[in-house]
Amino acid sequence: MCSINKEELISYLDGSLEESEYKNLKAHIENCIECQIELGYLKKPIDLLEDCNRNINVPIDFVANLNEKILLDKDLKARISKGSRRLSAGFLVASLIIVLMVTTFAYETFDFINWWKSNSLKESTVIEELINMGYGDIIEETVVDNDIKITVNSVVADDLNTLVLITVEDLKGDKKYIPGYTAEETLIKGRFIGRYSNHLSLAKRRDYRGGYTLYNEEDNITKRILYLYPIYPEMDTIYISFNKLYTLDEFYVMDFNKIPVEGNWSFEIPVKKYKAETYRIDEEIFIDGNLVLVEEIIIAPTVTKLIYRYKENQDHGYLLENIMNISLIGKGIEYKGKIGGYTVGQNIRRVEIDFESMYFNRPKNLSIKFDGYTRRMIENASATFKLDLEKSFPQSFDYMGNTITVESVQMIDEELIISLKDSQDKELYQSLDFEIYHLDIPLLTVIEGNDVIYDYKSYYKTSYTIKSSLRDLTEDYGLDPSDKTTFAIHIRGYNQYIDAGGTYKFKLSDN
Amino acid sequence: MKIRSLLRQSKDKTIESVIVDGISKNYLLPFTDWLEGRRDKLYKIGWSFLGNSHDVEDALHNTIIKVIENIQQLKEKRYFETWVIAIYINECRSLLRIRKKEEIKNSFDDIQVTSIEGSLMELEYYLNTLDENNREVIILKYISGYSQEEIAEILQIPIGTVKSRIYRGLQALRKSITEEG
Repeated sequence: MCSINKEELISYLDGSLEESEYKNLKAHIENCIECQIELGYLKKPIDLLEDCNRNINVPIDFVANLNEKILLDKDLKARISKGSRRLSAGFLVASLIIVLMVTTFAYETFDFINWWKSNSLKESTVIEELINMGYGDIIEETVVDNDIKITVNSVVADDLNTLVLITVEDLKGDKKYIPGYTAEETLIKGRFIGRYSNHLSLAKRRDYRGGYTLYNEEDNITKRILYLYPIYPEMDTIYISFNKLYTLDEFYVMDFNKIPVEGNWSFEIPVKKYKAETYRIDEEIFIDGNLVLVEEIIIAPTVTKLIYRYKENQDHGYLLENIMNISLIGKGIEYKGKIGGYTVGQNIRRVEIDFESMYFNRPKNLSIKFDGYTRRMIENASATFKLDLEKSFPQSFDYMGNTITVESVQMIDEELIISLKDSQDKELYQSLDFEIYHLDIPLLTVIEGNDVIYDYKSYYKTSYTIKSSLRDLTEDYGLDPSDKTTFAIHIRGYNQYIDAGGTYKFKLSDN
Repeated sequence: MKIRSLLRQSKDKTIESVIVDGISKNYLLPFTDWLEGRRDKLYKIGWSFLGNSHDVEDALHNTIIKVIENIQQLKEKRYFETWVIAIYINECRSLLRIRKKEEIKNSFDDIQVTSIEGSLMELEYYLNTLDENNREVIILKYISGYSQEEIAEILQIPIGTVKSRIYRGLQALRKSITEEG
């Protein structure tokens, strides 16, 4: 039995041993079968690694590209002398999950087309106005391919967004087209500021955040505003290459049933970025006893952004979810929230909401108004109901005075599909939060069909289609899901809308 | 090469001194030359973590910014290289974590995620079977050619730990290779 520490063989192979040590070990190996075998075993993966290493193709301009940017970058040099200004929040976000939520409308009835018409007019007017005031540029460059003409009309850029207005015209037919979202379909190259960290994180964004299709009467023309990330330098050229176009259906969304049109429409767009004004607020407000910290308001040419954060669980027996119907009031004008998103980490939710720009009408004071908030009750709100798939359906159980009825359970293609109704007799809550278990293993579950809620106060969800994936059971646990007696529905809590609105006024001072 | 002429000017100074002093004074040319000289090494490390050149460029770019911003924090100039590589490895790790989360999120949305370039699925596959700790030292040792001592310096771990991790990593790799047949 050889007493040599086999780890030493690593040093033997890489030549990092002292000469005398090396000689001694070499002599030993020549007489030790065990070590010889071990050496052979180690050489195999090392050879593989070195082989693969040789095959990694290093792009010739890899460092040269970066060097060029660095040497020409005036911003960077300014930062060395000033010391960098970090926009970081005062806490560390451990995990980031970014979700986009669209704000809901509090109207009784809702006329989509007219709303879209007037909203489109607003959106395009904003861009026109910005250009007229000198905050954007008219490009008017055109490319025709495959009988489709794409024009980049104009671009407006600031610290928060780069907006590109395009027109797509079907020259031979009467279809409306828009470019696809993925990097293969719309390739964007440039130096953009990434969204994942609070301090500067450069990313070559290869996709775009979103777009807004403007309403227009013609059948063969689509006008669309592309929302790109803000660019990093003050001035730069971005390259956009459209490669795939989808037709719009009658609801003006991408029709995936029709074959997209492929082609190449490439553009080089000069962009100049305009500065946003950031106002640090850092004030606490209370919403029904919950502490919310209003962090800052950023007034940029393209958008106004409100940033606030709060602890989701403030020990009241519920999780604070969303603050509803936020609007900003400045100089007598009310700006309704357009779109928002949030990041969550360590029980803290940090929310960003976009509003129409007030760049040319800057108030000294700003009020934040909201109607209420949604929360998920977790204290004394959970219940578990075991499903017996051997018995017939429907099967019912009681929850908080309501009757929950499981109408059917199906197993299709590694998915469990549960159809469920809530009698909502008590009208205590708006909806329920479900988890599906097999034995004690929670399944990856999705609740289908999110309702568009116009009025939270009178919204009571009565039917659910719950889909759970059984794939993990078979792959990770090697279980047989056809064993039908061990599924359970677990209610984690109920969701409520609380009518607890308020208005808070803040002073905007220069920082 | 520019660095050598600077050295002649500054007599007793080491290359690292010239680079570090240069950065502090806004003179970035020695640094960029130094980077160019390590192009292969840097690319290969990044590639082994991230699998595609876009991400490798991002990681290196972020590293360069951080090096320039934080140059004052480097205590001893002779540790410049290991310091830079340590920052670079951190950037690679962060970016990898972000990409992995994107994959989880995007699997709900069916949005395509950047795919791994061409023919080196094999390396990517085998490296992925390793523990994070072992994988890093294997990459630094066999892909970038750093010595055990240098790796200990970069990752700020004892040299004994470096050796163990290399050994365990190689054993795990050998096992994967033989299982594949």
